[in-house]
Amino acid sequence: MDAETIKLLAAGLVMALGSLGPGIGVGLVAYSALQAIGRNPDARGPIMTTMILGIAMAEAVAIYNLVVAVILIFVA
Amino acid sequence: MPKKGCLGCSFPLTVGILVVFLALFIVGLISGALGQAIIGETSIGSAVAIEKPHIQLPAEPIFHIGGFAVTNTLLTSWISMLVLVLLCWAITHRIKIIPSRLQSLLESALEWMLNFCVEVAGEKNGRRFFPLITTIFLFVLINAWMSLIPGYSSWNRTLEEEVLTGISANPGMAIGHAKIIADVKDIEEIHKDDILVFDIYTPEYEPAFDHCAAVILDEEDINGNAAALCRENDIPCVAATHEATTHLENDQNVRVDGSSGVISEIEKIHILRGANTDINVPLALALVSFVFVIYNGVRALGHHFFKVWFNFGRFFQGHKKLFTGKVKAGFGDIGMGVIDIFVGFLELLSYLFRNISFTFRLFGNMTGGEALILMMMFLVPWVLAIPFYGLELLVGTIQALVFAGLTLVFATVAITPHEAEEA
Repeated sequence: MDAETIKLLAAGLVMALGSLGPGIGVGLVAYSALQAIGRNPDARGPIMTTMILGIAMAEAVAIYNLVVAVILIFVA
Repeated sequence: MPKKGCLGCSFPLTVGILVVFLALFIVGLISGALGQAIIGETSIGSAVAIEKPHIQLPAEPIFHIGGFAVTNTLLTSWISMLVLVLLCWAITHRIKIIPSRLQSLLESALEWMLNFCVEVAGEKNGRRFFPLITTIFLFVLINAWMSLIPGYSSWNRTLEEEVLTGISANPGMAIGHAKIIADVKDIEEIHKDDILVFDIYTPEYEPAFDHCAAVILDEEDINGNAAALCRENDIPCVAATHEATTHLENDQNVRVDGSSGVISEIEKIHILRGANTDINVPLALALVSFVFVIYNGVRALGHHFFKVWFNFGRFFQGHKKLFTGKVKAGFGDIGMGVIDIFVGFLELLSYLFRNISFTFRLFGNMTGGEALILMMMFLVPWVLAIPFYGLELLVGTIQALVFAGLTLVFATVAITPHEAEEA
């Protein structure tokens, strides 16, 4: 394999493997938020806010992957 | 009153619409790149085939004002602002107690945002944050939704620029992708309507002459083998360009004018493009939200705000305790102080990294969405892209809400005093 192929492969792997964790994380956050809303529907507002914040935190990891993949393809 | 028929239409009409959609879907499936790959090239395929989408990341300048390049994404963000301003003006210049439809639409949207702000930040601060948060929300939302208007991002202009001149070897005009032949193996990669670019002819190149659109030569060989083959196959040929193989780029879109020997570069420039897909727009919004958060933090807490980042309090207190004789407590405080400093440093880093994640979250989601729709159009034209349009409407709303919501939450965290933790 030449360098270009490895670069593309690496970028694909970064997104594929790197999105596993954040994907599970976002799922867990939404899961527990939905459970909480199910138990206490009145607390919907604050739970939603915290959920969005938590999802953003988990998702940030995937965004760093995206940055790395973009760097791999366009810069490196 | 319950509606008769199916999905709000009379039964035959529903069936008719479904049949039309199904027919379009099947034709799209056969003619699209997906069908072409499975069943091979068909005649309808080449009639409706869509060119393979090219993902353009940097925005393209469309015109210049003085030395300032106005890019297509800048233009669309101006259009978004104009749409927002006109919409709000149209609604608010004649406000009524009994609202019209448009007025109640805007009112309910703003009320919903206001409730969201008040719920998160409290009555006083929520009202103070509301204008900026809502502006971010509406701007991102309009940017995202405007780019989904059909035809919005396909409106383009062709720019032609002369790049090379050679000597005419065979007249004719052709447009295609330049393929630079550096190796004999490259010959197999030549497709229909490609333009061959090479320096010196060798007999191995001959098979490509059957189906290429034009030939560009470096060498001065107007009467050589290559030129003779071109005349035989009736394809335009330009020789003696001297630097075509180095000057042109692979896959560049070029026009070859065989009679004058002029080779020009053709660039398709999109006049409108979703503003969120230019990384500068999310970056600018992220910086606005960053400054907004820090401004509100400093306004609420004064210089105490920066204690989250540079927390030396306990570290120095520990030293003081050492000199006043409380050795054990002093060392304990110094140890905890080091941890405080480290945590503060992490906090500072997370503030700075927020900009990156803000920027790339919006940029990645919007660019990814656009690429998804383009690829679906390319694979199966017409019908398959419609559900993805629906998905993109949702994604646009969610990203606008996340951008606005996170700014709101960060601002709320920034104005919350942290003195209590230190005591």
